[in-house]
Amino acid sequence: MKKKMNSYLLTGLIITGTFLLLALIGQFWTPYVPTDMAYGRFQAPTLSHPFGTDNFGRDILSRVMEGAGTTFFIALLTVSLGAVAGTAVGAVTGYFGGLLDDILMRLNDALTAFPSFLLALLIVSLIGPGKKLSVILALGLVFIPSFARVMRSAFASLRTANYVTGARLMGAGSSRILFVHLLPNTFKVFLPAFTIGFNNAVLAEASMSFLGIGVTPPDASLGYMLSEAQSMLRAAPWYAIFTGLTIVFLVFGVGLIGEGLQLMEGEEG
Amino acid sequence: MLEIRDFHVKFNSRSREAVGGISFTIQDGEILGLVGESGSGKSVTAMSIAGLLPRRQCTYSGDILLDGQDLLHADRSVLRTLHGRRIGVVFQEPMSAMNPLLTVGEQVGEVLRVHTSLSKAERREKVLSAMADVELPEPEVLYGRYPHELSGGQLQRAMIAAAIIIEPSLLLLDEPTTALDVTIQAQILALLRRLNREKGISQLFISHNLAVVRKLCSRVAVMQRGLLVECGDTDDIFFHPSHPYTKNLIAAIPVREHRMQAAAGPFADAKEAGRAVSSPEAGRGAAPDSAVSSSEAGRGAALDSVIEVSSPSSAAGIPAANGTLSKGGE
Amino acid sequence: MKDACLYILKRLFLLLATMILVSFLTFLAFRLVSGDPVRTMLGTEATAEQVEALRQELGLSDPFLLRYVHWLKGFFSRDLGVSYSYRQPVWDLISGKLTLSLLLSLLSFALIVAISIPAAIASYRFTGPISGWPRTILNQLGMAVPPFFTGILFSWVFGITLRLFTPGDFPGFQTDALASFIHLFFAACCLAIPRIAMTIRMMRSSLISEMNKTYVLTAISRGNDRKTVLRRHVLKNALVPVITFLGQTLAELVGAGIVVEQVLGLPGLGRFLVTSITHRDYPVVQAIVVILAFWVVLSSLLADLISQAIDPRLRTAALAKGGTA
Repeated sequence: MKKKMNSYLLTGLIITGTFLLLALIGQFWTPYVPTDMAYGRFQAPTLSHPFGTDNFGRDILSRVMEGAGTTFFIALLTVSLGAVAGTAVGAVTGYFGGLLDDILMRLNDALTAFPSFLLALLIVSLIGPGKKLSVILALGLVFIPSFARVMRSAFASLRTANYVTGARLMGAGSSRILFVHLLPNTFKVFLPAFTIGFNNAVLAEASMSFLGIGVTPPDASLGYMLSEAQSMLRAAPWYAIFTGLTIVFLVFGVGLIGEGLQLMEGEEG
Repeated sequence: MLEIRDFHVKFNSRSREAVGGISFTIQDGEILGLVGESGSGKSVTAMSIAGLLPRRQCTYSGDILLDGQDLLHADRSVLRTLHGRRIGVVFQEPMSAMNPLLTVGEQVGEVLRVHTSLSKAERREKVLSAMADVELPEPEVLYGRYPHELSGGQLQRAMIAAAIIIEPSLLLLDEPTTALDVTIQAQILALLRRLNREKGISQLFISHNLAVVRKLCSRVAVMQRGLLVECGDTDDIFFHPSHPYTKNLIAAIPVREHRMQAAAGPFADAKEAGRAVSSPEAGRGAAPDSAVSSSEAGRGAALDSVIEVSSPSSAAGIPAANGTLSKGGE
Repeated sequence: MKDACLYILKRLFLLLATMILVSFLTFLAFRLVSGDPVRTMLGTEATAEQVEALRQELGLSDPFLLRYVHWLKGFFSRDLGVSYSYRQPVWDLISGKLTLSLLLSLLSFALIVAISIPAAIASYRFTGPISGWPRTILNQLGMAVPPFFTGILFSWVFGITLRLFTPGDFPGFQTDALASFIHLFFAACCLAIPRIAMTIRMMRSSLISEMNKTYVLTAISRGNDRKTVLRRHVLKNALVPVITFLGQTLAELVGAGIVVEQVLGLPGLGRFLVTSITHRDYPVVQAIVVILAFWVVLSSLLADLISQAIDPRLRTAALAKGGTA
């Protein structure tokens, strides 16, 4: 069945695609060397420096392009980690049910009861603040429960579907049913959840880096740059504005994708 | 009292007309059955008479006149004065037709709150007597209960009580018994018949089940694909159907019941209800009218679907299946 | 009535149990991960006697479980231990900050409720269920703006340019109540904006789905006008899921407030938590975590009780569960 692409999804994909393209380019090539301090301090945006320069005379666009990559890939890794683990937990608990389901879901309840950002903050502080890996691990762990919950209900609702019963009667094993019959059908639930999780990851990473316990120099990070920018708000407001808008741009784009996916889902149903 | 002339409805999202020009009338004090499969346009017709047609999403033409008052083109404010006072509506699923957050008493008395200036105590008095009128047990207790605490049958009685509380001239019943067990179904039919006899309330009874309609209605209109294919005296239609679709519908009625009714001849009296209750089929299929759950309603509907016809094409298979069922019961 | 009391008692007991569990887990986690706090405090040149003396003073030489029980006992008499970095009782350090953070959360929560619910209703009443581009863009933008960015923009526009408040310099309510309130208000706005967008979206879709239910037709068929249908029938039904969502929001606000406190220079709990984490001042972190856990559990309890007050079905379910457990 061919699904119609709606305008939200398309716009979201274009925005996110542009962001991803710039971030990818930023990993190999930037207009200027991001660490070069040779372009004059606090230059307002001009054609040669569209985002202006900072207190050391570094080109902000180049730095933003570099930081955007970090932000994007950390968010992607984090949410993938949470999604894969959460889906595994959700599949097992939703499909098999029983005692394991009860235990894992109670644990899940306990974890979701606590604000996710605080939890991530604590985990980072425990396993070592200021490193990329700890941020990814901490946020990934924090995202498991929400994915597990969503996927569990998706799997549980499919478990009793006729075609699953049919497959079981045909002698298909549990793993075959889970991977071949159920997993593809949970996608329409999975994708919107993934976009929401991705956005939460972007915002959480940026917040942590902003607080100085996420990604810190020498790694580039939009959140850390914003905290830098805040201290020079008077001299170079463009620094904060362009860095912040970059984050807004990404989250907005992915949000539109999610909106579009949900709309498509609604039209289908 | 109700006159429908050349009534058309077409929804903007569909290419085919939902109702393609139908005309019929309901006389004072009569019960008219409107029969057809799902998608035949019978519910759209009922909603239009009830003034609940989503006007912005469709185009419509023709006349629907209630005692000369135009319902189809009437202003919302005019409709409001008729709603509840002249027209009462009862829906298929009583559980979803009731607001889950208000007590049964509040909902039964809502028409009074909207249309009269009675005090709270007076309203309560009226509600209790209306609840007793539809044979709800212990009205004082049920008054303060919430919908989820009542059974499907009790809720449907409460819905009927709410619809007739100030004795409207027309009661619209949109498949009111479809979601109920067979026992309860028979009781509700008996109740409707009694209300018609005692209070003279005209009724439009919509159903996909010709057997049920036959127990209640003096006249039947049959709809198919948005058109009225047949309309006339119930027994006439039953014994001398002229349209092939009607013939199919009648052929789909369970053989045993058909024979039984043919033997009983023209009846439509309260004794029939009692017979339906004591019949082995009803006794086997129906759960006691106490537990409340949507699954029960679902089971009721599933059970019902055994003796209904969902489309003429599948009609051939159904009597056979039912024959084996009733054999098991006897 | 007796059942209801029993239910509330049970919930309060669960609340207590959760708190004890959370505090034990954090206690354990810090114990496992952190090194010897005394070494960190005294540096490498300290003599063995000095280390031993400080260990005794901080009660670190006792076995783990005993220390936990000791800490728990202290917690209920507001004795939360002594900060490693300040050498002062933790309660004295955090009580003022706690008040400020709670004020911030409550103010921003009030903004969320006061703006989003009426806005969602108005948006539904004027445009119906059809959702167009402008609303979606506005909504998604609202959700995309991170509070710390709003905070920076606010301190630039309202702080530096318009001089309505001084970013980074919170006067305190004793010194200048009005200025403090303005400062707090802008912080609350930053926190509230994305959540207002979320709540409007949630409330709108809840309204739309309720409007499609049969009981709405019933209400119309009884002669109610549109306004009464919405007010008397739909609104409460639509609010039930939103209340649960708002409960989570209230719980999250304290966590989300950390960043805003940092941006606008509010000396609140969150900011103190961050500095304590970086200084590995575990008694402080421990105390704040348990207090925040209390806040979270309390918010969800409140949300549950309110939705049960509105929805009799939830009441029945809760009492049924409370009766068998």
